[in-house]
Amino acid sequence: MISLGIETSCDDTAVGIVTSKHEILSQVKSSQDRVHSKWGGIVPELASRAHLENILPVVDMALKDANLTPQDIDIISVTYGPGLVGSLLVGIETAKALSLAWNKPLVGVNHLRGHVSSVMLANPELELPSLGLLVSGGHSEIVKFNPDFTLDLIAQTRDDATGESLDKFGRVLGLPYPAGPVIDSMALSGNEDAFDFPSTKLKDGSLDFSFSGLKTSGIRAAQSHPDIPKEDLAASFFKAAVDQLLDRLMTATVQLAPKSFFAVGGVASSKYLRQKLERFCDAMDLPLSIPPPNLCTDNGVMIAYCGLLYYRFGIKSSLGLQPVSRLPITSV
Amino acid sequence: MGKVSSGLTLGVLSVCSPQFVFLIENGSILISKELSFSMSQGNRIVQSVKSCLDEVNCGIESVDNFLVLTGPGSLTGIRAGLSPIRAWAYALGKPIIPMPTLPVLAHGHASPSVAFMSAGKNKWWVQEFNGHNEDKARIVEKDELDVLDKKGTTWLSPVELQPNRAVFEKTHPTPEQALSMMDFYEAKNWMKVLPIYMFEIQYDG
Ligand SMILES: [Zn+2]
Repeated sequence: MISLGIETSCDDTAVGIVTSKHEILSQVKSSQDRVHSKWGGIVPELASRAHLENILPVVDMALKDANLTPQDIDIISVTYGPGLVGSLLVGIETAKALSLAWNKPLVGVNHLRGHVSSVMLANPELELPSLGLLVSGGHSEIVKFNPDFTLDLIAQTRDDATGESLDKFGRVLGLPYPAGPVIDSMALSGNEDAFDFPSTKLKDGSLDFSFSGLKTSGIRAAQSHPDIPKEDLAASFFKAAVDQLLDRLMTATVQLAPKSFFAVGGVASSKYLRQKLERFCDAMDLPLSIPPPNLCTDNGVMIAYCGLLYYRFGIKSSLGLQPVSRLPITSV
Repeated sequence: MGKVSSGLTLGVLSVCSPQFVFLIENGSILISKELSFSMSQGNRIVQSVKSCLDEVNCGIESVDNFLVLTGPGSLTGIRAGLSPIRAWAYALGKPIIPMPTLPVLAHGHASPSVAFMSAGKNKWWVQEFNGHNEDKARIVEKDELDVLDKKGTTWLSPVELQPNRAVFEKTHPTPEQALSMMDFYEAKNWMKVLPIYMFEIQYDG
């Protein structure tokens, strides 16, 4: 079975084609970084206009790269939330129209579940239950992936997402948008102990994250310590963020006794985070699965693959499918 | 691609409320559905197109060309219309007749007239029609509208403008107006059909 997946929830227009045998037939992405870098962040109006211009050329390229015709596609999967409604709308309406024109079933996919399913695509042997981090520009969550394919939300951020705090700190350091990848390479070369950022623990004892305090200390440190090299500040900042993730993951591991770990989402493509997670999992003596970087950042392949899983469980959408801006990971 | 006036045309007018989806066959409207447009009800354009086609026992593959308003108008409305229309034209290899909102809105009304739509933040898209020449649509500040308010001008818009103009008619683009304007606009490849937005954004993407 072959699924074509459309992803337009944020600033990338992405399409992927994947088979139920875990083969990726094509993966095409039109990034808008150049459009948004001028404004230092994502401008919703520009994002949805660019999606409208890019979506069909990206679909067409994905089919050509896979050497397929529309007749070869069995289902059309599309992200319906969470995300920017105007951007989601372009992907959804396009998917509905293609579903009608090509006479193929439509499957609306939760973007967050798409991220989590990317680990199954990369490692079909993943041992469940598995405990994982979903970390990106918009999300920071710990989720438990159960043997019956259900997901439990264990912890989430109370304010900024991990990637968002990195981007905001990067702006203070004068780095280009998106700052995450630059901070990642700075963190690998810089001295992570140069500055001691306070650790964040929530008073209610919850496993939830909070990155806004770290962001404020980061901004203050950058302004009051021009003497500390940027690389060292970036490394120290990233270390504090990762320490918080690992601290919660450790507590969750003791409580939930998972058989493996995983990490997905844009920030999971960070080499620095990968190193830290590998060390953590070695210490815990449990296997770690992280999809390759091109499956960690937003992509159409994960939506296509998650659509196949939905379809296998009998979940389909009607032409009435609507965008949902806020959608928890626990929703289908 | 050239002008199209035969065959089966699927039209979508989605830039303001009410929205319309309709089918035109050989110069007359075969079926038309009016949808009230609200965010809470979501976008029902693709569903409504499907039920129009079902009612006339036709598949989407029988459509020879598409017709759509490209703006100005509601951003959500423009996207909700252009996304499926472009996808159908791409999937079926058929052309699109793109139409700007304001001339369609003004068509058939007495001239001189000024058609206008909100461009957000106290700005307005306006286009003057005097019967023979039409100028181009442009964005003006609210104050400039007073200058345009000459005696005898009919103001046409789906939105009310305060203070009211001398002669104001609340109106919206209809399938009948689109049908009579079809010959004025060239059918194009889907790649060339893009929105005319409510406001101009400078970007070099
Ligand atoms: Zn994402």
